[in-house]
Amino acid sequence: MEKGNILEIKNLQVTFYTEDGIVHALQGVSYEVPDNETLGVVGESGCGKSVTALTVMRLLPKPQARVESGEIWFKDKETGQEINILEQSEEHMRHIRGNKISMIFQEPMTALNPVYTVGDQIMEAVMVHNPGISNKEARERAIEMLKVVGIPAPEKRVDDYPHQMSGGMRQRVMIAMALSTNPEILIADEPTTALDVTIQAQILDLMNRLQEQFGMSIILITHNLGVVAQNADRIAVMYLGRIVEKAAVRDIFHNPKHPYTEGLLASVPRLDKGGQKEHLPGIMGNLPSPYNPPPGCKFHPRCPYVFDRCRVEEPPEVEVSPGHIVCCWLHTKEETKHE
Amino acid sequence: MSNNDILLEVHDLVKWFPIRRGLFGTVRGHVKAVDGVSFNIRAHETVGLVGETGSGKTTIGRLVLRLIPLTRGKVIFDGVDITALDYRSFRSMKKDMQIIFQDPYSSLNPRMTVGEIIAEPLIVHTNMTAQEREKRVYELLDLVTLRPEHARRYPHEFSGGQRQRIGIARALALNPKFIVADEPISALDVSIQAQITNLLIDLQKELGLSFLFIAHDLSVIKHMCDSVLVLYLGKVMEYGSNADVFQHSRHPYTQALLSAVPVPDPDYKRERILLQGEIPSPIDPPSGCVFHTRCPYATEKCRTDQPELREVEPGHLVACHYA
Repeated sequence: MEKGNILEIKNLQVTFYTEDGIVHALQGVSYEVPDNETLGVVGESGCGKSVTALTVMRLLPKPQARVESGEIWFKDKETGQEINILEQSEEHMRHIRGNKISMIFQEPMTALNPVYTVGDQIMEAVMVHNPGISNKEARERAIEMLKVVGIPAPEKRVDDYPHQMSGGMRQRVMIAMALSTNPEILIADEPTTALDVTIQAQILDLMNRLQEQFGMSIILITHNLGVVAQNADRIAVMYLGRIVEKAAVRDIFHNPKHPYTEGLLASVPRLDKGGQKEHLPGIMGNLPSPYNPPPGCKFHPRCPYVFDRCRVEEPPEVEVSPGHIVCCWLHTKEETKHE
Repeated sequence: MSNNDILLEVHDLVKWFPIRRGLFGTVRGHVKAVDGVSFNIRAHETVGLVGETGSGKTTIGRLVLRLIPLTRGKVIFDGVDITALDYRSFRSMKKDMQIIFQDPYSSLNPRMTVGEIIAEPLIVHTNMTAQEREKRVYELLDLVTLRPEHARRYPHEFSGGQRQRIGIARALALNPKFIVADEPISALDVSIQAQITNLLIDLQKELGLSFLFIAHDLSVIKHMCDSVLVLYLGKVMEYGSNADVFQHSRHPYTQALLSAVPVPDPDYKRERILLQGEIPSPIDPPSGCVFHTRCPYATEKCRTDQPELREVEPGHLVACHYA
């Protein structure tokens, strides 16, 4: 592993064998998560952003999903050991999950158990990961965590059931639970998509504060370009099971190289600029069916710059400037640029 | 501007949903979903309703079309008070007032072909022959850039964006003057959202439509609307032109909302107003100004006196003691 990275995903291929056919959900996904930084993963439905996260957690549905190849290297900061997550036993994985890598989801209501109080659920997480801790200590830890995530009157709210809380509160509880074991990586899968904007701002602010306080890495998965622009250090853009571009946040937003990234940025109306009732350039066409993806570059049917090679051959990863990687024939050197 | 320009007038609209409890369904209180909202929509104009959960924006859309009964208030469409009409007279007016829904998955009947879905309003409201209807269906498919052969397919064969186009074609079937668009793009992927907003902009130009555009996304509202109402707990906080609300907002809630919208530019700097706390329940809204519990500038007066929605400059209304 490279120095300064806590997680490295290498050439990950995941296939789903479903009744309706075979979906190559991930086709050689590689990304790196640096220490104490936030990696934003953006893309539209079916791009594989959540599947990648579930693979890291080893939570893919069995037996439909199969990891065909690839490596996921994780550096344990405590022991300094580097391990390949895909080779760990289920038992060791239980130790990593929660203790080292935690995950929060879009829908806090479905991720919380409705018949236990939120306190019980945080206590369970604490006790599973700290064998030998007393009930009283676990409860104190639960209250402390609720306080950290900004829940008012945590001594009282600890005995609330999930349905007694608002969506924003429940997401705070999820974060409290995820952080109760001091993980090194927090995977947040669309953590604010179901929330109102003012509550979204609170939750994102909270995540940034906790990152500073506890020193952890965050993988922030979202379709919202605004959310990653203002909260991520690096960004990976995914389309149909591939990373099409990855770079530092400023490079993605000020100097996008992949036509898909460019199109995504041109699809959103802007609060800070742009006219009224003007056409958004956007991207033409529809997302292809994952059962029947196009050959060559997966984006070629919707790409305004498409040329012959794109239709037949898949583009390789090219580093256009230090740390800025693009998968596009427009940016490979041996190919003449098409205007 | 002359009054004749006005297509839709909404006066002091109120909707209270009763809360019933117990064996006999005794009314124990009310959810004040919409509490005294007034606005106008002129011909060819788009008016935006923006607000968070519980602001009443969807309820207003339903009330304006008489899809649910109102508690109090008046809706005047094309000079006729539709709240006073009996159902049969109202039915003939419904042709001119249509709706596009948020979820293109649940708003289309899965057992009907796309052609049948689009032709249904024609069967209900016109005397067209089967051939005339078929011709109209093809025209409508073309208008929303779908292909003629799509008429024979079923909704499940289409993507979200295409389904939204089908919903739009159905809404346009009877040549309406006015359309309520209730979060028409929020269930769609980012690249498809742009296509549907472009389509709505084109249709407005081509057909001279008026829209009541409901959305929680302020960037979309700014892009689409001529004037805007900012709602909070069933009340209007601010009402004005696009520029009034987005460039010169005077209400602390509008300002906080604008500052909370994530902007896709890592170097975009602005003053951040982080609102504390949660949106209160509309069953038991706060006294005085409904926003006072979260307002960073709230004073004693805000806790007791409800601010009037008053004109701070021509056409720009704000409900705040200190605006």
